Amino acid sequence: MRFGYAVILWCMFATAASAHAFLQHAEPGAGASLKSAPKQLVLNFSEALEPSFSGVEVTDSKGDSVEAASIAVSGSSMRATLKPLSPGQYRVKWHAVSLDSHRTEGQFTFTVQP
Amino acid sequence: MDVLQQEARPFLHTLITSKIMAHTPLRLSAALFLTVAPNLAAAHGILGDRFFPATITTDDPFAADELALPTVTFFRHAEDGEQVFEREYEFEYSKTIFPGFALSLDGGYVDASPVGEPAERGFANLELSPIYELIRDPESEFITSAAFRWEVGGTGSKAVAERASSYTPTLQFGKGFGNLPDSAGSLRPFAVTGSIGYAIPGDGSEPHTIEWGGAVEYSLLYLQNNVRDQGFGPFVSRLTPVVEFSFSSPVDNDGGSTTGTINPGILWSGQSVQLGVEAIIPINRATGHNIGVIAQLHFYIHDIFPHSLGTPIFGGAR
Repeated sequence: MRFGYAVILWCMFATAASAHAFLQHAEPGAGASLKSAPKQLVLNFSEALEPSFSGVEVTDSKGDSVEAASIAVSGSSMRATLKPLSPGQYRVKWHAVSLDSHRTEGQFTFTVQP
Repeated sequence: MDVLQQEARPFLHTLITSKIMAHTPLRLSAALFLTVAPNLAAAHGILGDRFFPATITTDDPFAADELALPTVTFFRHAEDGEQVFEREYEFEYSKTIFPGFALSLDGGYVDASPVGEPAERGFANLELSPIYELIRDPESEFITSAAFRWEVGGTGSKAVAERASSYTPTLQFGKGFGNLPDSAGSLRPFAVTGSIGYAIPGDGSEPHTIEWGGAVEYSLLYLQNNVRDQGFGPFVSRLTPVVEFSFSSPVDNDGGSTTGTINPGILWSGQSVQLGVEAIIPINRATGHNIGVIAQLHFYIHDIFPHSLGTPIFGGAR
């Protein structure tokens, strides 16, 4: 019985590098309405990422990219420095590949108020 | 065999042996339990932005590497003054053979205790179920699959398991609503899964039945990450409220009326394990009139063993 519990606990907590990378926190977050334009986008995931196969794109309402530099992927985070953003809605599309090659993706919008 | 037997899962089938069927209270019990019987489903999957958790009661459309162990069901019901307490302890293991195709094996142990009568206990028949994903469209979060459930007659205990096999070709689907326009807002986390099958009993005197059911899910993970950040922590964001429903409709041999259950509950999906619990609510008196409960511990094998047991035997990972 104890062995069974041990297996269950191991499966629950000891798989930090062997599962899908789900988005755990974004700044700015999904649906955010901001009074001032953010200078960067930060995405934190549940797993460490494979930098070569993970990325994010931020576009304005015309579909033009607004990243100011290449995306930095480190550990379980992605960071994108943004160009000065004018008021409007922006779309974030990310894709993440964990170290065990499982892929996840997602998208959301945020708004910069006039 | 009873009307409800065609639920085609050991949970039910075990109660429908000839021995049991000759026993009126237990026969009634079996009928009721069949409607409750979960399709012990278990496949989770990702389509585009959408994570579909493994549903407990009904089949879902993904071919995946996973293990449901255990699925525990308690259900007490009354019929014509007879009270029967049913308990089921089940497992299901699903292995991908090649991407989009998996083979599942499930079985279980049944304990049925009618009041004032000796208990009937034993192992259910084993069941083999291949599933093949026909269409998989991440863009629209849509998937449909063909499956075939084969309850292998005679593999369970004589006390509780049917001697004849039964066969249920099934069509399954899943659809997320994330591709609704942004203006749909909080409707976008909704997703549905469904299945419809035609159960063919090995015993020709028994009725054929249409087995149909599904689930309506609301993904807090999708709400948090794709629609509006609610400030959920890592635990809450992994919760999925769900309502499953499972029905059995006889089509011949004077099989009686449709029976089934509606099962509201909640699922929590971790990185490699899922926990779920649901109430079992009979839809009519032919099904029963007491509420039961079902709970499941579920392992995502392809996340636990991503480079070995969790990948298809042929063709590599999807």
